[in-house]
Amino acid sequence: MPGRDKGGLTEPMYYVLMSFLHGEMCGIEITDFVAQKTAGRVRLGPGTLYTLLAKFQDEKLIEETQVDGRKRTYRITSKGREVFQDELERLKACVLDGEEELR
Amino acid sequence: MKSIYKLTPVSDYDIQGTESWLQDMALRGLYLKKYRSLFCTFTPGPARKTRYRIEPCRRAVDDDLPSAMLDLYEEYGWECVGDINREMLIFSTQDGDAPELHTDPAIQGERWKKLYKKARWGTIVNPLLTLLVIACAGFLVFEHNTPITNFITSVSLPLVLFCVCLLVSLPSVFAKKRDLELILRQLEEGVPLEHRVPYPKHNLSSPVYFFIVVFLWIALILGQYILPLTGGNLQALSSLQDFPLLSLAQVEGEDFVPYTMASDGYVDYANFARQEHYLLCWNSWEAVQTGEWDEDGTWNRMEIRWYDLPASLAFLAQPMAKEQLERSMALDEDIWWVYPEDEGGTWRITQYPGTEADYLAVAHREGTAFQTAAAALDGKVVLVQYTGHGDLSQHLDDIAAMIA
Repeated sequence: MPGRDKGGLTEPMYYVLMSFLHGEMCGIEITDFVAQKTAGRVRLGPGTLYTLLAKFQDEKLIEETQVDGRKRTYRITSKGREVFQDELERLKACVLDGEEELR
Repeated sequence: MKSIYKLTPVSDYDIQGTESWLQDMALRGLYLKKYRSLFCTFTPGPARKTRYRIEPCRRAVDDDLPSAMLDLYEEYGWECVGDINREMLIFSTQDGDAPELHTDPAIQGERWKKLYKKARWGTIVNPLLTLLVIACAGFLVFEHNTPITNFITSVSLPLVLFCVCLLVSLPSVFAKKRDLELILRQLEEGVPLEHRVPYPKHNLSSPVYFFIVVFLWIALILGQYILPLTGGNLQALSSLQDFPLLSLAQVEGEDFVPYTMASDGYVDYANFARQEHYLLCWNSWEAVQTGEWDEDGTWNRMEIRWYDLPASLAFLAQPMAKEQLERSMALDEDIWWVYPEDEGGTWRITQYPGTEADYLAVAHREGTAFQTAAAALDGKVVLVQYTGHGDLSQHLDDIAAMIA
């Protein structure tokens, strides 16, 4: 997976993982959340979303909780929260570094 | 509902070409029902702008369609309408608001990478398998150092042609890898795939290749497993009508005592004829005649192989007869009725150019009871293998008569 293997999350990965902080989510809810949160800057097609969800499931960052017809719901795992927290810390450090250099 | 069949003009791994073709077909009111590499089935309907997208999705033979993937795509308005070689799925939508499947080329590239790796592996495995098949075909053709006889009496011809087909198809293995590599490289560079590209309008090479391969498979199976069973069972020598058989009694003379291995109602396993069919020689016979052992331990036996080659292959009769004679001589030491103490003699081969045959030769290993003769004329070949007290060279006319 681009980005993740090198230690960080790509922007779509970051926002998809973030969406689960609110609770259990299904596909459409995830894309709506990401579109709203980023004001349309980050868009997720179903192919991209499916690839990310499959990857997160493989890495045990999320788990499937319910299948209701076509609708599948997922939730974040404790490992997923840790990965998101680590990424957040990394991004904060990046921002601080940048701000320091600008001063 | 009525189905319409169209030859597939694009290769399986021309992803963008396939998407473009299917979209054009939809604009003509033809909607994909089933995708096949050779031809696709379409259902007619009102022409509408339809988007088709191909997604990599490798599945094992017993794997179902990935329901999680299909469910998610359907939530967004994309329906799975086809499958390509259990490696890719075709999705379509007529909903103009349905989002594009992929919004991140790098992530999309990861999906294609698995397929690319398999294609790359195929560029190693396929040439090796082709070499293996060529080696097997070579072994079959040159086995016993009798290429002409093998050519006539085995499936070596379709097998060699099959090897040619494999060689001809090898570039497509590399083309598949190249196509996937181009897609992968583009996506890894962050450039989204185009879904509208020029594509070939006709592709006759695929169906031609397909039918040739099917024909060769049929020839291989027919020649290897079915034709050998069509010659019938062992028959009495009297049923052999295709040529005047040189009889063992004729060669042995007055002292000949026939030996039989027959019981009531059953075929004589010591004296029989059997017809054999081959792809390139429909009519051939094997005839076996046997006499009693002599007091000195010599067993009288004569085996005759007779071939009637088709006119187009008549030119092979003479070299085949020579080849058969040489093979027969080489077999001498392996023939169970020749005693070990008889081995080691010098071969004396006499050719008889003045006879009615194009080729007639008799070989005799000095100091042994084994003689062999071969003759050819106008597409007919006969081989005689004989152990006894007679002299085949005294029966040249009878040998020639078998191929007259």
